[in-house]
Amino acid sequence: MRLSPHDRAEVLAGAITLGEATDEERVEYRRHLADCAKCLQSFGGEHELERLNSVVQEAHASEIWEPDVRGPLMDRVNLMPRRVARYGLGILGVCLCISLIGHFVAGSSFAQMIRPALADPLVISYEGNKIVLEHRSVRDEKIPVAAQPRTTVVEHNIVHMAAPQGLTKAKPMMTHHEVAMAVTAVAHDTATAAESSSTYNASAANVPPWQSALKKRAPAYTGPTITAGSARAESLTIAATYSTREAVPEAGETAINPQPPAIAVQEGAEGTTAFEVLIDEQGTPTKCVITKPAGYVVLDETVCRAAMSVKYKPKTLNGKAVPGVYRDAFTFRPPNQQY
Amino acid sequence: MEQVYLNAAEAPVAHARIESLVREHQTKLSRYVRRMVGDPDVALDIAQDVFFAAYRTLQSDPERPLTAGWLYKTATNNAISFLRRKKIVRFTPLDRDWEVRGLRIDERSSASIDLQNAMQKLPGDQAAAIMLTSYAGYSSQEAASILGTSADAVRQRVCRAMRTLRTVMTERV
Ligand SMILES: [Zn+2]
Repeated sequence: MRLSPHDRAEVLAGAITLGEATDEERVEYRRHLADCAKCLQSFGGEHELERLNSVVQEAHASEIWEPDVRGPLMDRVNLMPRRVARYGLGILGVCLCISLIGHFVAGSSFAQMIRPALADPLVISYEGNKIVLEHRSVRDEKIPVAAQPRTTVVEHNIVHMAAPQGLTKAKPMMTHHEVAMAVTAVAHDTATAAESSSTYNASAANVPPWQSALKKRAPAYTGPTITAGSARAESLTIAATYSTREAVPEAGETAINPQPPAIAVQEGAEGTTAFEVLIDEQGTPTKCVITKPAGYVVLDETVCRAAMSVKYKPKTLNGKAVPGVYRDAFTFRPPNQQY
Repeated sequence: MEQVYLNAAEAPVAHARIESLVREHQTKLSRYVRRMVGDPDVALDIAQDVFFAAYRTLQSDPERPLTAGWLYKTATNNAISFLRRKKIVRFTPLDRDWEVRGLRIDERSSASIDLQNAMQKLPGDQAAAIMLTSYAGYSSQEAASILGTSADAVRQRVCRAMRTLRTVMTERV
């Protein structure tokens, strides 16, 4: 079966996205784009495809969820009947048996142990490779998984907001000039700033947390039951993050200088805004995302406006400029607070 | 009605093998499923079911080689059939903030949110294609054997999934 030229272009675009395309295939794709505005518009060129792939890989690298399947699974496995299990009616019988036993020993620790089985019927049927589940286990019997805090956001810029002399809450809106005066000091904690900059430099000694997590995961995929395919899969991911320099403001980390408006000072607004700026290959910020709001929209907006007004050094991957993300945080505090 | 015999004598072997399979794959597999279904509770249920199915398989044949591919294949089928059932009652949020909160993921990086937004819009076969390749790192050939299709079909699905991701990201700027 022959593919239509557009279908063929989609296949090529997929191969390029995944880094699997041969040089000939890349040329073929370029030729198609030269003639086909529709494909160019909907899929983009090779750079665009690679950029989208890096977004997915970045999402993968940022995973923090640590699920626990083992505990509930082993409970389930250990509670399995040792004789013959029959699907359908048989299951009801098994459940009934267990519930009867549970009834007799209720209150003892044994009863505690088997209780999950009562709500966890073994209803599984096979259709070829497909497993059809008719009942789900009960959720509240699972061990809850606590979300782990992000470790990449560093609080290091403390903005002390000082109201000019004579400014009281009764005073109406200030002029633009006064607004500029409202922020008197931007104190920069050098110790934590150094820590932060190391977070974004993938040197051998200072590996970003997500990258070291990746490396920690890697040995899990060299075990005996693993196919060559999955071992390769893991090494692919690591290779993709090799020799990376993250995007940073061109004029250093102090280049971003948020100036909260007077109203923020008057209202005594305080809090920490953590944010991310997407940086394209040219070093231009394209998008600002608040990852942790300060609790005052005005402060978040101030931070994003400042972050978007600065020029960046683009992220580089093996020396090549690629789209990247710059992450940072600002803490706003009234001037009278000392901590 | 199907009937399965559980051999008590072979249980320790199956036990040991399932323990090592779980230890090795639970995190990556559960995260993969969570991305597919968009809900950690459902993902845990599905992951548990996958390993349980693996255990049942090992009980009847303790020597049977169970690869990561087998686990992913089972997980993908379960996730896709969950999505099919869910589609009927799928809620379409209008407010983007709500949408972001509604994404039941802990990671708040923009890449993570964009990906999850795109995932919610993708049909199951495209979602599986992009997740197995770009996300989990399988080649299109490997993904094809997991999904029971051809490498070219996987590539085409990846391309279409990326187009949706691109649209999601453009809308958000
Ligand atoms: Zn075309």
